[in-house]
Order: sequence, then C-alpha cells, then structure tokens
Amino acid sequence: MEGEEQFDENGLPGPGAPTPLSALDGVSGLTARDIKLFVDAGYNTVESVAYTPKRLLEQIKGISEQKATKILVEASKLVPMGFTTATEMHARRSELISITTGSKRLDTLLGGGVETGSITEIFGEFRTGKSQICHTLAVTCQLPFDMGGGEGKCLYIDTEGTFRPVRLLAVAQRYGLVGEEVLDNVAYARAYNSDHQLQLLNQASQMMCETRFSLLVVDSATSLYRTDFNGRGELASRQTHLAKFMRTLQRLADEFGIAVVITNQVVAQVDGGPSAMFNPDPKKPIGGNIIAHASTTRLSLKKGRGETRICKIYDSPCLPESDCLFAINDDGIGDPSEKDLEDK
Amino acid sequence: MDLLLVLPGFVTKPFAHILPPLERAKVTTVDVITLDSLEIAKRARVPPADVRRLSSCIVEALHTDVGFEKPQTNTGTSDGPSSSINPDATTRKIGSTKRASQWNTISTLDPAMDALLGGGIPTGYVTEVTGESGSGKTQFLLSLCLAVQLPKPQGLQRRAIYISTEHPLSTPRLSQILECHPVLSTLPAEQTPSLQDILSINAMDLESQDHILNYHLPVAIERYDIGLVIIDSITSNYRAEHESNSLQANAKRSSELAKLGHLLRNLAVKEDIAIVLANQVSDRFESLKGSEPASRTWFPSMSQTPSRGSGPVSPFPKSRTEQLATRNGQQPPSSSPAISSSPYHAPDDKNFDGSYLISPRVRNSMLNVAHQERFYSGWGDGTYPESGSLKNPALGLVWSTQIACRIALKKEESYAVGVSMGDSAYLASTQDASQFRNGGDVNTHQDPDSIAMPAPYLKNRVSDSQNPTPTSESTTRRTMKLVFSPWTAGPKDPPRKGQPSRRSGEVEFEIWKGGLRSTNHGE
Repeated sequence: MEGEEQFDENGLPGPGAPTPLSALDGVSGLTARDIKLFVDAGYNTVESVAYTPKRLLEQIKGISEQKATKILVEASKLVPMGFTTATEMHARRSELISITTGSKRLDTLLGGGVETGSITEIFGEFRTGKSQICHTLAVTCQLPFDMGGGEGKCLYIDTEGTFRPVRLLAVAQRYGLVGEEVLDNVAYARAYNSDHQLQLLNQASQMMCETRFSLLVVDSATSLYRTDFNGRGELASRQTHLAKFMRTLQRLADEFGIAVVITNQVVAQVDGGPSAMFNPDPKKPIGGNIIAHASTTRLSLKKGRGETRICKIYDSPCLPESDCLFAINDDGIGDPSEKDLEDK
Repeated sequence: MDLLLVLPGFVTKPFAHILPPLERAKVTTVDVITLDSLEIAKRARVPPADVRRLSSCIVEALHTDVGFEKPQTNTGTSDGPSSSINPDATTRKIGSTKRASQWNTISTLDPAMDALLGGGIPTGYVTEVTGESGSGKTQFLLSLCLAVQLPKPQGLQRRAIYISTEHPLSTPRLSQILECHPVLSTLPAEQTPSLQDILSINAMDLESQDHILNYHLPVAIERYDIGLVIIDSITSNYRAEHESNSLQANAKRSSELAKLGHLLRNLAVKEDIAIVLANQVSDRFESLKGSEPASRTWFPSMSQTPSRGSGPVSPFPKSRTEQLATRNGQQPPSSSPAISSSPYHAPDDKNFDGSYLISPRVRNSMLNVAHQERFYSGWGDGTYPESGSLKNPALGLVWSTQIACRIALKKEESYAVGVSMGDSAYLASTQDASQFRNGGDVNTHQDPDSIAMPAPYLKNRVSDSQNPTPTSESTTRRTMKLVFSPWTAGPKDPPRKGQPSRRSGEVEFEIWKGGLRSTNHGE
C-alpha cells in the first residue's frame, strides 16, 4: 500500500514484517510478565493480538479485562489498520465478475449481470419468472469467465419444491454444455423448515471451502417463514430469524465471493394507505424491512405480454431506477423476440 | 487494580515491582490515596516508602488530569511511546475547546438541504440518517464522504472513514458522483476529492464491529487525519445477532447500545470529527398490544376535526389543523369546542394557561412511548399528512437518546393519475414538477452507454404491463426531514409566497447521477 508509508511517521517496520509482542514490554503498564502470559497463550506478535477479539484475550489465564483492553489499545497503535482506501477497493471491484442472466437486456439493466459478492433479491407474483431466472443462473454460473459465467458450481436451496433439472438441461443445451456435467455441478438441497434452511447455510460454507462455487440460490427465501411463523405475535421472532439468515448469506457472499440470489414472494397490500387506492397493482415483497435492508440489489418482476416479463430495479446502491423487458423461452431467460417489442 | 482504568496514561514503570502485590491484596486506587500507606504496605507486603511515592504520584496525576496543574513534561518524555496519551490529554483538551469555538460543518452540496440542516453535518456530534430501504441513505453518506475533503466552508479538508456492515462501499457510484456533481466536477484538479482519501473496512459481525470501533478506529482517526466517520449501517449487526423478543435480551442490547453511543460521542468531541450513522427502520403498528387504548379514544377532540381522513389519526394541534384544513380547501371548523380543552396545545398557543384539563388516564397515554415516539422517530408527528406507512427507526428509544441529531429520509410511492384526495392541490403540483424533472433528467443526463433505456422504449414501457385499469405511472417522492438536532431550529421556516404550501422542515429531493439534490429550490 503506497499511502501506508506516507502515514507511518513512527518509523515502524512496513507491513509484512511482524512485530514481536515484546515490543509492548513496559508500554503503559504492561509488564514482561503480562507479555509472557500472552506469548504462552500463543500470541507471539503484535499483529496477532491486535486482530484478536477482546473476549478471547480475556480468556487467557492471568489476564484481566483491563489488561486485555490495555494491550489491545497499544497493539492497535502499532499495526497497520484493516482500512483500505476506496481507490484500492475500486481496483478490487473492477475484478469482480458478474454472472450473465441469459438476456442481454437484463444484463445491461444490471450493469453486466448478477453481481458476485452481494445479495440480489428477485420478487414478484407467481409466474413472473423468479424461478426461471434462478434455473438459468444455475447453468450460466458454470460458464467460463469470457462467456459471462463464474467458473464455479452452484448451490441451489429449494424451499418450494420448484426445482426442475429438466430446465437446466434445456439451458445447458443452449450454451453447448454437456447436460450431465451441468447437473453434477449443481448441489441441490431441499429445506423443510426455517431452522433447516439456516442450518443448510452452515453446511454450504463447508462445501464452499472445498470447491469453488460461484452462485448460491435460495428459492424462495421467505416461503418457509410464511408458514413457520404465524401472526403478529410471532412477528418479532420471525424477523430476528430472518435477519440471522440474511446475515449468514451476506457473510457467505463476502467470504467466498459468490453471487447470492434469493427470491421473494409478494403480498397484496390491503392497508397501504391512500396511495394504494391509485396503485392498480398494490403488491409488495414480504419479509418487511429486514429483507429490504439486507439485500443489496432488489429486482421487481411483473408479467408482460405473452412470454415477456418486465424487470424493474427497485433498490440498488449503484444502479439507477429503470426497467427492461425480457422473455422466458424454452431454453431459459432470453431477449424478447422482435415481434413482441414491435407490438407496443 | 483499577489504576489504569482511573488514569489510563499513568506511568507505572517506576512502580512495576509493587503493583502486582497490591493487585493481589485487592488494593484499589482509592485505597492507595485515602488509606494510610503504612497499612497498605503491611497488607500487600511491600515497602511503605514505595507506596507513599505511588500515592503522591497518583494524586499529582489526578490533579493534572482534572486540569489543576501543568502536566509534567519530564515524566512524559522520558518514557517514549508509552506516555504518549497523558501529556497530550491536557493539550488536546485546550485544543478541542479552541476547535469547538469554530463551527465546522460538512456540506451536503445542495443549498436547500444545507439550509434544512443549518449548514450541513457539524463536527463534534453523532448524527443519524434513517430511512427505509432505497430511501437514499447510502447515497447521502457517499456524497458526504466526498464533501468532507473539500476546503472550508464546504468541507474540512480531511479524510473520511467508511465502515460498512451491510454491503461493501460502492466505489463505482462514488466515482460517478464525483464526475457528475456540478460542484465536485468543476473543481480545480488539486482540490478534487479523491477515492484515495476515503478509507473503508467491512465489519460483518458484531464482535469485529466492536473491535474495530473500540481499538482500530481511534488510532486510525489520529493517524490519517480523519474528519468524518460513517457507519453504514449501525443496525444490521445488532439486528442479526440479538434476539429482541425477551426482556433480558433487550436489556443486554440496551446496555451495549449505551456503551456504543458513549464511545462514539466521546470520539466525536475529542477528535472534533463528524460521525454519521445510517439506521434501518421497522414498521410501526398502531396498537401492538390489545391493552393499549385505541388511538381514537386518546383524542376525543379528533372526532370533530374535519381533516381526519387526509392523514393518520393523530393529535393535530389547533394551528396545524387550521393549516391543514386551509390547504384542503376547506374552512377550519368555526368552533371546535373540544380544541380549547384539548391537551395538545401548539407551543405557540398563547391562550394556553398551563393547566391540563385532562384526566390522568389521558395523560398517562400521552406519556406512553407509543404516543411519544412520533415526536422523535420522524414519522407521524401529525404536522403533515403522510401517505407512506409509518416507520420507526430501529434500535428503539435507548438508541434515540444516544444520538444528537436524526435525519429521516422518506420514500413515498405516489400515483399521478386520478389524484383527488384531500391534499390534491399539493400533490398534483409536486407531481408535475417532479415528473417534469424526472423526464428531463432521463433525456439530458443520459449517457450513450449508460444502462438507461432508449427513449422510445421508455414511452412504451407503461403499456407493457397487463394492468387492467388505466395505466398510471408511479412516482417515488423522497423527502428529507430533520427530526431533531441541537444546533438548528429546523422546521420553522414559513411557507414562501407564491408557492404551493410545501412542507416546511422537509426538503423534497431526488437521486440522480450526481448524488442527491433537492427538487424545489430555485423555482
């Protein structure tokens, strides 16, 4: 890091060279005896202490909470921070890959496709193409990078029982992939209740340690919550559970750099206040504010004429609010035919 | 021994040999300076002379700490890095008071929003930006990140730290704002904010969040000359890792939040930086518990106000009721007998003699949090009818007391066709304005290679949907509201002449490529 040296007025060794913990000996009340306790517990460098949670340091025998605080404060002063500049993040981001959805229009709308490292939520009524997008993505994520893929396997968590391998074969044919291999690369899990759904994510992280995955699909993320929790009385526990689930997804996306795609159902808004009166189609995604805040990109799907569907960007940190048409074809998601476009 | 807790910068090296025995004998700092040193020496089995020396050193350090004496520079310099805190402490204290006398703000780079916020986001305070998903919180924070790097008066010419807990910092958006914003893009090259001066880190769980805030952040602020710290968002880790359905869990969360608030407030004042946090929202339920009286029974006077249908059921003070009624094109009620005895007097009501002619039951419900929250949450305080659903900022009352200022960003979907509701004049006019503007934007700011649609297609898209009713395009109306802040009066400016009465204390804005901008200034 270029900027680092510029800030390092203390003349400390540059990043990369670990500082032995003995550097803290005698610094603001830390005695050689304390240092020895830390070293005995396996913390040999200032860096290792600085990045260890206080809770763990306190567990060392003979170290009081106060000592742990002290050494953390001092250690943090000596090590380079975990902060990175936005420039650096930008450089890293430009290496981020996006997985193609199969439709050029949809890809342009999304700025290249479904982004890895973040959560994309797709919601809409039944028959609007939520599961179809998931099926197509499950294949395209296996494509090589230059074809808009992610060169990784797909993990498909199904809660509604809508997973159809036949659809994958059709999409595979379109891209000239061997059907069997494509199916081999999709790990499928059926979740039966909300606890199970959360548990599956823990297993997922184990699998992701072993092989390269590029996509995690949860179709749908909320349906089990809709049945497992009833009424307003259980709303708080439902939302807490849901928040935990979303958090785990975010961590998976972060840790493994995978794209996370979840689908969500909608409810008719009956008590939406005055605006609902003028909205011909008052539908909103369920899961409330928890889902809304947790997903990075939210896409709303609506039915269009024939096989066409409308996708609208509902919320995104970097995409403007706009919409586009795409089509559900026999071989997955694609662009609508010229005929469909001209009609309007 | 709690010595380092009482005096974090105390130089313990000369006493290293007696401290462990003292600690073993459970002697506290207070004991050392209050009890007879001989007794302590006996109890801990250490030389009495050393205890006496320690005691006098502590007293001296305590005096220095509260500012009675000049810091002893010789004890400070002799020990190198260890004592870097204490001698600085007093000088910094002087420094910070000097700094506090200069009022520094970070501009939002939009005149109307700056006016609402009394100049911008000031340093030395913890400010919260709350709003539902997609209301523009992150966009607002991103533009602050850039504005802080500008020279005064718009910025502080210092760096920014962005701690993200939801999704990583959106750098493409940051550079887009930098390119498109009229103020930022016209600056000379050496003044232009750069991404190099924004530091970012991800905190994906509560433990690492606490760790970063407690240990890494204070050091980073000093080392990198930080003027602005942003946490986006403060809520998500708490929401995911705390159960909020039991009393115990809530109590635990409350104490953690109080600690966090304390830490952030101290940092803001000590380092003279602005701390801006994003907060999520939750939906508000009118009556969660059956035991609560329904809102209508709280306010008997409400049954006589004609304007009830146009807003949430809420206690409109007299003057506001009139405002509202006038806007609706109706005459205010000629005599509304209940209003004079209404417990809800507007602060400017001169007839109010200070006595409350209300029953204890009503008063109790007024003190109820369900009633009070409308005044600090930012939603539903009844000043203006709101078409969106009511929200509550997350983390509750405990958190609301930790922050100095709350800014609420609201997002309302409204529909242009068939506007005939109570607020028609107002709505229709803003609709036109915002639609016109939106339409204009789409065409003028369109990049050839941007993700927006080709223009003919835009026109067509409405008919694509198979809506049975006559099509209507929904417009998102966004408003920024200053809920509370210690430095500006906020919602007090009177509606300007020749304008459809707009909501004072709220600024309508839109999100475009250059960040946020208000939609009704300069018209």
